[in-house]
Amino acid sequence: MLLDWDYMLSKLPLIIEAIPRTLLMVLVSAMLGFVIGFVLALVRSYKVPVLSQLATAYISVFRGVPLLVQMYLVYFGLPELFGHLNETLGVALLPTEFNKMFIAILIFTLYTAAYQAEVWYSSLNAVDYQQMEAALSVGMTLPQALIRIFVPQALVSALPNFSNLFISLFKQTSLAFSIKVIDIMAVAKMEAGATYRYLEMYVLVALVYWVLIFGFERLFIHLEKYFSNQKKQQAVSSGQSGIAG
Amino acid sequence: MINFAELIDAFWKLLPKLPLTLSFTVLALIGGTLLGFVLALVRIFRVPVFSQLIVAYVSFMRCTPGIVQLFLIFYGLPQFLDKIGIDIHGWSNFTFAVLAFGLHCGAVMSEVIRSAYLAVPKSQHEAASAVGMSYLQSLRRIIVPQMVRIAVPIVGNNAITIFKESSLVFTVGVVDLMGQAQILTQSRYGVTLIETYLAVSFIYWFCSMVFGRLLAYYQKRTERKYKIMARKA
Repeated sequence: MLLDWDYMLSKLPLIIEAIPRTLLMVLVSAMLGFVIGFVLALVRSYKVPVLSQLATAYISVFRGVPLLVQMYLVYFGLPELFGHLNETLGVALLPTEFNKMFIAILIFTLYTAAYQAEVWYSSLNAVDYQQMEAALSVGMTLPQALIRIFVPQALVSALPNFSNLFISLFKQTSLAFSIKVIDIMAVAKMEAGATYRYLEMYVLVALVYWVLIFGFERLFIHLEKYFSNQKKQQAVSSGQSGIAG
Repeated sequence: MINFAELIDAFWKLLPKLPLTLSFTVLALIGGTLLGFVLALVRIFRVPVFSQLIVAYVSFMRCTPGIVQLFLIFYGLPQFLDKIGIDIHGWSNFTFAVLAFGLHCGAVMSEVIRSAYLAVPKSQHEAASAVGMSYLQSLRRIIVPQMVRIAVPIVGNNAITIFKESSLVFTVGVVDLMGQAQILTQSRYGVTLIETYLAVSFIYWFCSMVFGRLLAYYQKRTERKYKIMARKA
């Protein structure tokens, strides 16, 4: 036998136990990053003075620096920064100790928000500007036009990009072990170190990631198909009404 | 709070490791491109069995984290090869890291090359053979130049990703930028941790930004060229 399957099966429950923690990190930071990315994209699209430059700088930095470096900086820097602020203010206002899960979600959110902002920005700008004029002319306010007309169209066209970012984020959360969050990677690493069966443990954790991420990939492909079909149907029905009229 | 003298000191101590990180990235990209080329050929010509195997391989590489792949190659591969009587324990950490990243990059590149090939319209092949070109001639003169134009932005973005992901290789003992940063902070008992990693982030950020700009410039130039050609036609 090249691989000790019995050993791998016996360790599978340990890894499955840690899946909720990985999923929590991925889902929460993906959703928060989705919202923050949208706000950043709006700030950049409307060229809000000062804020727009800040958003551009933020996106450039968080896209240009490896995630692991960001993690170290936030994990070690944030308590130090807050401690320093407390000292200068003379009151213990800010916490200097954090839940590790909180820090992990914070970093992943900041990281993915920068990437999602780019996707939001290009997809919102790809929507035809005349649609805004049309929406405003029928009496919609700007937020209404954005939410009802622009966002749905941008989302459909950007879905493949968002799903790529989600998958990439999912994979990146495997770095959370470096700030001592016990996710599936951390469990595998500890077990492998304890029993010296690196091959089996890493094959096992790779398979678990493969199954999870492949599942999400299928889900996104399904959604993409659903939306493009809907679009086609709309095109057909509007074409028919055009003929009837 | 941040000691700027320490920051600048760390910066100069880290900079000599940048060539290693860059050459690592280039090696992984070259290896990945060669592998990706072969994989793409197998898939384009739909070689039975191998083609299906490659689909599974690409899916595995796409759906598992880079760090897992790295650990799998660094810790797992020697154990695996031991069992069939091959000893590779003597390989350097750097070799293992390049191997892991090259294998990952190969999967990505095979998809890039394949989709670039498929993106060139079939009529181009037909037109080339209509004027009497052989298949290889049409590839070299007609198809590949168009593939390059399609693939360059994607390959460039991948290069930036690989460059940033290469920060993981210090976890298997390669002393790259990150490895050097770790040595520096440990030698000072973590006092200069923030300064050191700020210097690291600056180096990574600067390189990715410059490369990103170059890529955007290249794209703009080629786009302009094609626009002019389209207008003439």
